[in-house]
Amino acid sequence: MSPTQSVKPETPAPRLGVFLCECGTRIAPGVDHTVLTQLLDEPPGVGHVETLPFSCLRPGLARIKAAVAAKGLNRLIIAGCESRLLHKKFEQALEGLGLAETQIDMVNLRDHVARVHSAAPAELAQKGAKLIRASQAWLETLKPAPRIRIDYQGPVMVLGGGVAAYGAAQELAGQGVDTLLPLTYDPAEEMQRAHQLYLGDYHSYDRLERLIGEVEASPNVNQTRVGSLLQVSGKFGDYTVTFASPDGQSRVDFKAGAIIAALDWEHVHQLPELGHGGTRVVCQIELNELIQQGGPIEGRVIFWINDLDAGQPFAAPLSMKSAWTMATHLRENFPATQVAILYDSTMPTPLGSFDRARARELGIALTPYDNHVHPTVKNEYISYNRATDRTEQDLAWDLLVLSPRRAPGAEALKTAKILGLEVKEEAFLDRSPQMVRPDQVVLGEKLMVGSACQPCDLRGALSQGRRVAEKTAALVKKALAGDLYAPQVISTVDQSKCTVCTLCREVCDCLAIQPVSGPVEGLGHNVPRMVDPMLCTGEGTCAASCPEMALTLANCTRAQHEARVAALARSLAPDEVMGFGCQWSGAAAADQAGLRGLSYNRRFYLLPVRCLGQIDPVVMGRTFLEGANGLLLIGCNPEECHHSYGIDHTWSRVWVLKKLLSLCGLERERIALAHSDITQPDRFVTTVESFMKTMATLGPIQRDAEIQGRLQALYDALHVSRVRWVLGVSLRRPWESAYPSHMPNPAAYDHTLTEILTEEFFRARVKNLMRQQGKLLQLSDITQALGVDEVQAHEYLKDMGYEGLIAISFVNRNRFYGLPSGPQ
Amino acid sequence: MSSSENSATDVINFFIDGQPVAAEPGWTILETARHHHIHIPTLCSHPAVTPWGSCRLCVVETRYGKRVQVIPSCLNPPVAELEVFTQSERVKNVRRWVLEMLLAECPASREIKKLAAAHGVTATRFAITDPEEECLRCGLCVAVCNEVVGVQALTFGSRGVKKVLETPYRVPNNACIGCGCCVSVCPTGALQKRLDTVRGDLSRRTGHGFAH
Repeated sequence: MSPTQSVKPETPAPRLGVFLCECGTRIAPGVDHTVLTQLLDEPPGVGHVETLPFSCLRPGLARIKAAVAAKGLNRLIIAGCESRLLHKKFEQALEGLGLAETQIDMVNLRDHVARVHSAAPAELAQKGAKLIRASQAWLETLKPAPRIRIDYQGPVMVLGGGVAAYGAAQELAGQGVDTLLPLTYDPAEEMQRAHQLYLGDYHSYDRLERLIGEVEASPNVNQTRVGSLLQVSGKFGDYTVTFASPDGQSRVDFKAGAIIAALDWEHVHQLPELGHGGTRVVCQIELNELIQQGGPIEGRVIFWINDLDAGQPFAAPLSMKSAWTMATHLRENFPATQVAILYDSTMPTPLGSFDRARARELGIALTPYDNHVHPTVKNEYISYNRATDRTEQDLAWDLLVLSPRRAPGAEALKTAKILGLEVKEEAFLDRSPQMVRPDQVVLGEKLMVGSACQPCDLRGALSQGRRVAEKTAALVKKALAGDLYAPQVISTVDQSKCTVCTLCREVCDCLAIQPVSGPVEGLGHNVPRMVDPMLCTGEGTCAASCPEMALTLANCTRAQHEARVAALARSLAPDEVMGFGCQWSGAAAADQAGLRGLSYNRRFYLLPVRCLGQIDPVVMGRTFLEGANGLLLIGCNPEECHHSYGIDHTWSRVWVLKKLLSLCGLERERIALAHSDITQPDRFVTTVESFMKTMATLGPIQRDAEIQGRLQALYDALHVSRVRWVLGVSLRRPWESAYPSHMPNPAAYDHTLTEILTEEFFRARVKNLMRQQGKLLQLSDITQALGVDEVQAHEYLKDMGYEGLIAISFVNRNRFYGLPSGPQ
Repeated sequence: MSSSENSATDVINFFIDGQPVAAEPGWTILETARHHHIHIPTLCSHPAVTPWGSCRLCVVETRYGKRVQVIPSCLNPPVAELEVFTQSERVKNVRRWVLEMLLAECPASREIKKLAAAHGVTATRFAITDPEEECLRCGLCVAVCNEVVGVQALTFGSRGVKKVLETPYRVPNNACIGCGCCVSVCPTGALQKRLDTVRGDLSRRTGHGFAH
């Protein structure tokens, strides 16, 4: 019976195929493929090894397909070049054979081995083999998670009450997608609001009115009057949205499959510092009202586009535009006015040559000023520094019009908060989902459109709505056809382990982690978490920080990471060093070093990861336990992490590892975090060389039983939820200054951290000692064996006894410590 | 299984530099040559993207009966009994021309200079417009951004001799996910210096600024 027949079809045993690329002459002569093949034939054997001139081209792909079909391979390693360029090609080519994305791994033999080292081809084959073995361990530990098909139910809901909603609703209706439009205002109010929010957009009001009519008439749009938004829960495909009823007395629930939030900004008057008084010096808002009332407006009207002076540079073109439309309106309808627009000469003006010609025709003076001197409002004049010749000028006015201040409205902020965004008051809601999955960009946009997110005029708001609706419609159609699948690598929560500490929610930067059923009355947010598979970017910082290890990154698990590092660490020679490189920076810079013909120490082994944030501290501990003498982690530059905070978390973890290494009596320098960028391969080389030098001076760890025992304790301590919790909450982004509970500053926090680590390290050592000895121990036995202070040890042991971690018994008034009975 | 059956029935036998080779339908001349360890120089060809033959360095001479052509091998599939020459005088001549043009196009590129020198071209008779230029406008970065990454953060601006690589509207754009695939495929390393003009300041982007 062949092995492929003996296994159940659901969980076929891993059967690995390795394809070695020659890449023309770029890998083959530098790395001896014959030696490499021989090395891979040694146990643990692989199902198939083949050398191909170019595995990425059609002839090579045909050979791979033939081998996969003939030998029933279900794990593949392509030892060739950059994964990020070619992985997709292999995925697509092999999709028909039932191989999923995560069952294919690529080892960059070309840029991490062949091109960057000058050594004998047989020696480089050794290096290649070690990297392939690591990848083998990774793939063989992989338990492919089932694909998640997105179950989509219900209409698309366009909530938030912003004007952009009509743009979105019209597009969705046009595409034949069921749409639910909860209305906060009736259409007449809506028009009135548009006049107030989008000042002077005279050309677009008709369009909005037409849109409102179309949406009302459309059979695909279901409009309902509702009160304020109360709560949103669920995930893509299945949301429950709760509104107050219009009278505010009861609650109404709606089901929706997708949500688009259309949110508007609000205008407020300009600050009095800029001269705003409300009668003679007014804002564009007040002028707009005056125009709507029909005047009276006469005399010299000066528009001062003061957004730059008021600290809102983004709004300057919009204010200019509205000032311009108001100015033309004034000249056309109020002949007794003289109009001038005073603007900062450095701002980009939205006026074209046609507008300028029109300005000349209407006698509207467009006056740029030099912003080195702020214009000053005086009683009848405004003085400014003329941009052309830098002379002080003054301009007489009867009515001075300032720009309004723009900010997202209170309603918009409230809605954003309910949607789960951390919002800062006054700041626009412009946020980015993580920039890693372009195919799912639309879901990041799902949340918000409209002027509260990106300052725009009425036309802009409507077209933002339309564009997002277009993408949402495409996604919804795909989901309804049953073709929408969640990505392979996403977080999943074991809800039985979740203790609702909400740390993952804090760490998650893609809004994927949500309460299982939304805030429950009485419980608040105190319900287990789940992950929206369509929002998760698969970065894994959440999984690596969960104190209870309740989160798992599907197809990219901690077990896989551990197996990979263990395989590599065991195979390393004493002078060899391993490291992790982030695919966005460290590993990318390493690829680049190969392409640019740089070279570095061949004793450095780099393992690429999706983000350093997914390296669990346990994995770092495992590398040392399994035989690594040093560990270098190369990630993005601070503040440039593609997943927002992955690098910050890694920083904290490396810090903890340093502390634990000192507790083990080893040098702190054995672990280091470095930063890199794809455009700086030379710096990557410097980093590696420097770390290799440090490691050369430190030398290998003298692994006697004592040190190995301590490293075991280090590894065990990192599993303890208390350590993981304090590590998880330790992340302080640069703008955060508050520390939890009684810790006023970083030093105090660090003190707490050291205390906890010392205690947990001791606990792990005591437990290991008890396991080894297999008998009851006295305090003196423990202190002697571990070489610790007796008083401190007594305290620690007492606490362990209280917590039930050890059993304390008395024999002849002497204390004896032992492992508690029951399962360990 | 099916592929082996196909190859048995539809195999295309032809010759490269006199050596008999076999291809399956869908393979190009370049792919077949590479599979048989026959070297053809290329710049704009990358396995990750659809070939579009912009650099013309991969030209080969083909003879089919009386018909003799010089064609880019990356785009053309072989036919049975075709004779392909990768090192004929005519091919070498065309390659030297191409390299001379490339030397004028991107005079600052070390990679191009090295490649040209390997083919015995050290000087160009064409006018050099920008001595600092490294980009040969092969379009690999544009293609990889579109096909592999799935966004359109890079594009060609202007046309003809004025064609330049730039971002839409010539501003750093938020469509760019900062993956650096364009830098990896660039045959001359020109994008390494330009990446910041595409992706903008990453530190200001994380968590903010999403384009609509």
